Amino acid sequence: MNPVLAEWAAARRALAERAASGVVGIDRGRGVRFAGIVWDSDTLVTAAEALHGSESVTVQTAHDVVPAEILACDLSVDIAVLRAKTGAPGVVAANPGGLCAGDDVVLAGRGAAGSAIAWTHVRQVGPAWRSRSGGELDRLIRLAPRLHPTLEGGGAFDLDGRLCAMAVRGPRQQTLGIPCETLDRVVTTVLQHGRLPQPYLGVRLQPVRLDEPVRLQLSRRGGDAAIIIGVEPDSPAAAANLLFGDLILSIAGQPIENGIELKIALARVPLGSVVGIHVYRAGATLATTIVVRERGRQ
Amino acid sequence: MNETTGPHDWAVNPIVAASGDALRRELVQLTQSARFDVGSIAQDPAALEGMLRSGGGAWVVTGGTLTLARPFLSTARNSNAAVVAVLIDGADSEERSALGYGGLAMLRAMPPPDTFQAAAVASRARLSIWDPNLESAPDSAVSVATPLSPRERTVLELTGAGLSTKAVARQLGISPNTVKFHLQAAFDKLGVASRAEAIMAAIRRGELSV
Repeated sequence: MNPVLAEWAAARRALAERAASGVVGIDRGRGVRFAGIVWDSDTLVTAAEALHGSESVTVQTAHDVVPAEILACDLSVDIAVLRAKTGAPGVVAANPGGLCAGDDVVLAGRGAAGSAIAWTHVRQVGPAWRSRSGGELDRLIRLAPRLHPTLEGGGAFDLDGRLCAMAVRGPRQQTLGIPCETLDRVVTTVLQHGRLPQPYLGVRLQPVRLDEPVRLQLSRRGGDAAIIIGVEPDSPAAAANLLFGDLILSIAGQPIENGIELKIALARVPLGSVVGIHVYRAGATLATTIVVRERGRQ
Repeated sequence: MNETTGPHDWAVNPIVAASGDALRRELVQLTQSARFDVGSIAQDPAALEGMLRSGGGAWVVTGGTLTLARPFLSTARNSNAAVVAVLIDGADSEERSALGYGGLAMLRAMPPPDTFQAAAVASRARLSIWDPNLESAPDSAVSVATPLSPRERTVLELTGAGLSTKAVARQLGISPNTVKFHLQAAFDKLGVASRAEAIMAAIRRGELSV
């Protein structure tokens, strides 16, 4: 073989092997397999949607099959954190600013028969964005090909063999990369709390279209507002005397037009904090405060 | 809250006003499913006018096509009464601003009872409510958003909290397959394919709390 090509091929093979050592195969039964990333010797991350509500899965490492327990799933960013004793060293994270569109990356996963590898490139890199499910991602990373199911939840590694992102299936058959920083943020929270705490007020909301005079009276830019169609008993909303039929205008200074925006605004507020809330009731605006509590806890 | 008011005043029962037996029956049924007692029934605008002249704070439920509802709407507006109009056809923004006033709620037929209830409260608080579903709606086809069942709601809520299918099953004392069945039914009603999308769609529709 041409020596330059031989060297090139050997380097690629070494990178593929290194990438494969940072991933596992995950089996949720009935022949459904996808991939996971070895975060450290006790912790794995994978795609939350791929788990499909499974409680426990088995994990295929390079040498062994071990059980794994699912610690937490954040569907809004498609990240699940699992506990499994793989004994493998964790992956090394790439420098967050280092990734550019056009960069080559190697996708790694593991099937029953051995490691699964796909060479591809980064199609697009962008700033922080919010998923359609309301999750905040630190960077937009789009990868080139359609993702083979075996590689879903696996790692995308750069040419130094460092982890750039987790490969997941996005809308319209796109392949998205969940950035390392976002993985790190979720894993840190889960390991610290043992779960993913969810902020909670206890209101059910529907968007309503405001007519022009009301919109002007409220100096709203958007045409919608969120009307309360349910207040749960013993909730922070009940404690703040929010009523059925109230319009929530803003919380913690963030204008709210629907339930999703409320959920997103709450995610930015520390749990247990007291925040200001503006409500429109019977023709007048009321300002009050509300405690942001963790769902399921008093 | 700086100003605390008691529960909303439900004491005044609505007048259901519409021409046509079938339409009146449907509106009465909807009003009752939202836990209001129907005060009286007006079969034509003149009857409605009489009722509004006598009763203080009366509010009106009407609906059908915009053409059918318009005479009742103008009568109510002349008496400055709050109205919930349940329409089966859309109206463009021009028509809307011609009709709209503080106290008129226009909803797409047939709204879930809690939407109706919220709209009634808001219109009586002199808010003007316009259901965004009326905008995109073609004139004839009536798309009905089927509300989730209480079980579907609970299953989705627990799923949103990050519980596995089995954990949801244990908590509710049902089998994992039943949980999957409820989830699939919720997906179908919400028109989604994934758990994350289902939770977002349900929050947006007011089926799940934040």
